[in-house]
Amino acid sequence: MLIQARVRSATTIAQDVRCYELVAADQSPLPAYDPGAHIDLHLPSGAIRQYSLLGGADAHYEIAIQQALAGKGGSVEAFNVLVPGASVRISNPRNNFALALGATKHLFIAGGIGITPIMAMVRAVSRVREPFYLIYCTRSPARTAFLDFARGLAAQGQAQLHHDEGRSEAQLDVRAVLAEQPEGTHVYCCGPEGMMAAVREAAVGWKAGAVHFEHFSNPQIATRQASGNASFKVRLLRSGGTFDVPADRTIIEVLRDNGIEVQTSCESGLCGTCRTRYVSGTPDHRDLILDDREHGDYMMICCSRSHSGLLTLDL
Amino acid sequence: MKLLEDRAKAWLRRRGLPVPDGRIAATAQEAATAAEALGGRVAVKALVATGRRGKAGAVKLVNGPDAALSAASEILRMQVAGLRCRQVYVERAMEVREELYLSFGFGKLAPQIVASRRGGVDIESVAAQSTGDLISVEINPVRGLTPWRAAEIWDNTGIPSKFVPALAALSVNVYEAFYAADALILELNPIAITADGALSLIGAMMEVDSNALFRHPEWRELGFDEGGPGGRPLNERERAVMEADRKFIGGAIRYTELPGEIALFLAGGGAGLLQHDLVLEAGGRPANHSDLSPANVEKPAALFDAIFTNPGAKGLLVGMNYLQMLPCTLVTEALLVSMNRNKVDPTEFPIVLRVFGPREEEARAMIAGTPGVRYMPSGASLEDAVREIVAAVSSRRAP
Repeated sequence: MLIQARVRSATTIAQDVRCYELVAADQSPLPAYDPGAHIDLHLPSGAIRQYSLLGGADAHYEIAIQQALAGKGGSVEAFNVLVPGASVRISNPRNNFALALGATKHLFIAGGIGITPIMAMVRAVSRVREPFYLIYCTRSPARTAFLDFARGLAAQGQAQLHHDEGRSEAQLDVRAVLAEQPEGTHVYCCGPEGMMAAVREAAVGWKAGAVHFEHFSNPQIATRQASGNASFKVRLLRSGGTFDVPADRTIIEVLRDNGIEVQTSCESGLCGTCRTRYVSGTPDHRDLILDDREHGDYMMICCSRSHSGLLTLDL
Repeated sequence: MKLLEDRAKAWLRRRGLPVPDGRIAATAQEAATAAEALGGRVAVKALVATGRRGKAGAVKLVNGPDAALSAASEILRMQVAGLRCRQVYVERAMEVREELYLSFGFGKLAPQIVASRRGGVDIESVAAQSTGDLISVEINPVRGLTPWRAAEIWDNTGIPSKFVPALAALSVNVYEAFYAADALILELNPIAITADGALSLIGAMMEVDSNALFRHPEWRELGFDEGGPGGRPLNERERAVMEADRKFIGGAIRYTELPGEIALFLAGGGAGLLQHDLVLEAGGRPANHSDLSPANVEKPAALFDAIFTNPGAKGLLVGMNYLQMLPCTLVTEALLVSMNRNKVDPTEFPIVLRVFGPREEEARAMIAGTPGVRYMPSGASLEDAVREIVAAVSSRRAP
């Protein structure tokens, strides 16, 4: 169920970055959310994009969008259509990047516009005065959203800003940072894929569940696609019917072709909307949000495929 | 079911929440002893299942056992919101710097938290002013209340930010206590910020879902002692009906005794109360109120058992109306079972039935062989049936 929202304000807060306030069209308070949550923005073209909520306010939502001229066009369209007074449809908040309870310390590592979910998280943990530290990497001060906020934290010894000016040798030494964290620290990382890969690599040996990621895109889809997909059959346990999933189609696409409605959103294995229980078969998991335990029962049918010739879904 | 303050606080204390030390006292002397054991200033509170006790003068702050004795003897003579005060709760008094309000209940779709930095006796007027001093937010029932959300809510109340972390942690624990208790409402008013900056749950009111009492054996039996009508304890017949109501599946039975002689086996709120009025108008006095929703035969039979063993009852009116749509045989079968069980002789104990609707012919046939039971003819009104039973009972009493 989508929410009719209205853009209350649009403010440029850094180079190519705008911050938007959204309110419910009928003035009612928008659903509450926990830090790390995101919403889907349904653009007039039909494109659906996910944006993290910045936290801090109860009755309205704040999101920040960076215009990616080389992207798929969603952010460019958003920049064009999201003007004060404009109507836009949004989803209820979803959260795949929740703060951990009982952490001895929260370490936030943000790259570029990946600061957005982390803004809400930093606000939340500072409110309850739990120990935290923010590492915020951007290309340059001009391209840094919430620069004053981050500088304020840095002045109190709770953040460091890191500008690499595009030079790879100036990039953050993630391994050294992680090595000095106290026992019980939770790490939250959101940023470009290269940075997330570096954090993932440096965190090998950390306790499962102590390192959290929020992705912009799913690189697994492209890389695995390139190495060639196999075709398989999918059987629906409850509604009946068995369908062929060819190498160049996803499960969702095949179901949709056959008139079976399944809720989806990002279709990249990032948002969690199409989470489906499987009953038999061996899925080839390609999502970035379910953990190993969840993969035992569930799969994301927008991007994941099958290692076995037949996959039976609880649909 | 509403829990009294001592029970609600015991539940919270057991979950590690900061509740002041307190004792129950049934007499003024016991209150003095409790005050002595606690030492220093104490609060003597009426132990009745209602809010607004402070406003009613049923909470007194006193120093020492003598003052506790006189406060308790005064409170033990009081009625608070129509409830007789049979016990007091004597509690260590706190040095209060600020009074806050926190409650959990249910909103339109989900659990709801209400918080205010202006707690205490005037919370109703804070709510009425709608100045934004009362923050009310629904809680996602799946995710529960996180400390981050709780902190945001307290931040929005305007409380100084140094208190927010402790209040957020407290709220999460209280929500868990609310959830684990299957509570319908858990109201903490006030939560005190004490002189040394600590939090203390001074006022606590909790109502739990009676349908979930199977999960809470410690409260299951309390309803018999604490939920009596008009502040009196339930009698054995009322307890027996409550027990039968819980024991047998389906429907519901209710039974409350009154000081009259005409027993009433009724169903339906409006038609039931109308028959009370008609009995009084005809010169009789109801011996009980009852209610029944369609059930297996055991439940109505248990209700008849209570009626037949009530020493005050001298005759019975079974006054049903068409709208119940319950099979007439359910009533007559239960009646015969209970008459048999209690060896009731309707020639001595008049019984009038006005039971119309489905399976009426069968029901009439079941009763036909029982002398003394008068089954009203089709079309008889409620008044007709009431006049019949009042006349039958008074004619038996006249000689």
